[in-house]
Amino acid sequence: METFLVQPLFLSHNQLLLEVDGKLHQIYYHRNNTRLEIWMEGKVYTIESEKQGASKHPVTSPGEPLRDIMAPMPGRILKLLVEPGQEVNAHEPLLLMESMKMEVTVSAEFAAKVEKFLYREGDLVEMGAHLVILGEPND
Amino acid sequence: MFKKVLIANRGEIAIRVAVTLQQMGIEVAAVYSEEDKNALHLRFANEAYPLADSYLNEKNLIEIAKSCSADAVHPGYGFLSENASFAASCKKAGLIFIGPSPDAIELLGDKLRAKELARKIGVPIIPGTDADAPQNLESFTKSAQDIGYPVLIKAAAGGGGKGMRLVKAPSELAQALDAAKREAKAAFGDARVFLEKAIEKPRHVEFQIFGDEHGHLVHLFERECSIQRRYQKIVEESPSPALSPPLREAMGKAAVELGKAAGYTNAGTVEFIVDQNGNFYFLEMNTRLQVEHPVTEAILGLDLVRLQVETAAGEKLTLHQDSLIPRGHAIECRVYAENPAKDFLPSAGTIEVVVPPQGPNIRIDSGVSTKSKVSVQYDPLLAKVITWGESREIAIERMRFALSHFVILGITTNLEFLQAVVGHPQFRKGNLHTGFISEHAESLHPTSKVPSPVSMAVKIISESKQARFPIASAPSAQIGDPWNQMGEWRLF
Repeated sequence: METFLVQPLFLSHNQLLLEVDGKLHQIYYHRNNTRLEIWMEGKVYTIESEKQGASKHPVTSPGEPLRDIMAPMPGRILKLLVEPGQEVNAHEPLLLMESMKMEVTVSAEFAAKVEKFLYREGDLVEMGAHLVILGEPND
Repeated sequence: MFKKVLIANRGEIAIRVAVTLQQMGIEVAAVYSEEDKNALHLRFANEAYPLADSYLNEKNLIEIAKSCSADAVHPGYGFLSENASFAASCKKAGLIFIGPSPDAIELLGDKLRAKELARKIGVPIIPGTDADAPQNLESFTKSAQDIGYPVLIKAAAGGGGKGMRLVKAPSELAQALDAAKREAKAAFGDARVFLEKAIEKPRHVEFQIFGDEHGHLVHLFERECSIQRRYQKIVEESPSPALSPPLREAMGKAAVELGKAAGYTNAGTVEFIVDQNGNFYFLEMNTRLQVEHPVTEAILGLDLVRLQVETAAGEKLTLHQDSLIPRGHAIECRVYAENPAKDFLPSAGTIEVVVPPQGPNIRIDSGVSTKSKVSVQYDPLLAKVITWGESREIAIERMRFALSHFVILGITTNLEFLQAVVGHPQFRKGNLHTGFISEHAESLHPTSKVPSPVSMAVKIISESKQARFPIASAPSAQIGDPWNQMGEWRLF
């Protein structure tokens, strides 16, 4: 098993220097409510995000901003690591994904209650697909 | 020399013209429409005036120019640049129009009159019949024989490909003629058709000409503009890989003769079609500064806007044909707000990130900056990238570098498509024609996989709170949150 050494350095609110195994990658990005655009080496990658998917499933608590988790890359859902209804802490792993022979852990950004997984293990997902709906923690 | 010039335009060309005027110590008066009140071109002006409605309102523009005491008006390209009545109105109002005379604009702006002039002085035009020819098979058979197959049947009353038929052999003529007439009748209510020699894989090669008001006129060599989409150029270069020295000389001579016959002054462009056998035909004349003029500037080391201003002020053109020697090779790519994957439809929106490339012999003429709004109301040209090299290969390498280091986010552009064009093996070989993009469509629209650093970046960015990124110029040890959230990336 090989481990990548990844070192990100945010140079500004739209510029990221990514060092992957000693190689530097200049990345520019722009994020708004509906999409994330990433520029690298002359190409632009567009990832649809939250609000696009909002119409596809009911919002857990109306009026509240949707707080779900997007797929960081296209790939396959390997393993769901928590149960619906379970409360998680910030940065706690939620699921494992696999893409281009690479495995990545998708974690919660903040303390939350896991409302629902939108995919099952083994499912193929697009980049930016909504994977998990998170709700407010009970307390 | 002028003290103040009004620029009746917007976008990159307004900036391009303003830069030269500023360098010459001439004050710049800009105008702007309601949508353009925060536009980039205003930042290059000494004064800016709101337009009553649009950049096309002649009377309004002349009023503004007079009331701000401008001596001259530069029309840029597009809008009123080839409008003879605007040029004449400027003159009447005591303003100098920086461009050719109203008479020359009128004569050369009329395609049929321009063709007639070319024919008269012996400049080749595409062989064909006219709309007055007898509309029967017998006459068409004879004409087609004279012209030589393949021939095109075209509708007299219209364009856009309607009523147009390609005929490759005499046996196809009768049926094609009937079909073309029916289609022309249906589309334009006029069944008249005419014949023209079909040029297979035509190349678009134009010559820049320049004249002063003292009877001196030279050509500034060619630009090949065969790479087109939706009948619009997107890549231009000079010299043209298609021209041998004798062909270049013959075409240059024809361009100069045409300019002289029309009494042409200031900057103009004579457009030709070159066929695969090296025959050239006059197409039309553009009576203005062209979008692609920087290509000519690069190979000759000239500033065409400065020459325009000087000759408009009555100065003598000090260029002589024999001492004009082009050096190296230059290419221009037009960066458009458009989506090549959706038939090059224009895209609109707000530009969020712009980082232009830099390096020796890379020139960027841009009309936009961060937060620029791109509306579908205007031409979607965002910027032009011009590279120069000692050879065509080096100019192409520089262009590939420049395009792949040009960051524009917030709006869809053709930057990736342009990279595919200039990186295409047939482009590198110089095998160009106006159908290049449709011929190579498949290899020009590649589907790219997402490389792993991008996936990693998506994860890092999406897990970070927006607008809370530290601007870290310090060593990596000081980096906060995103670093800790990375988790583990494993290859298996």
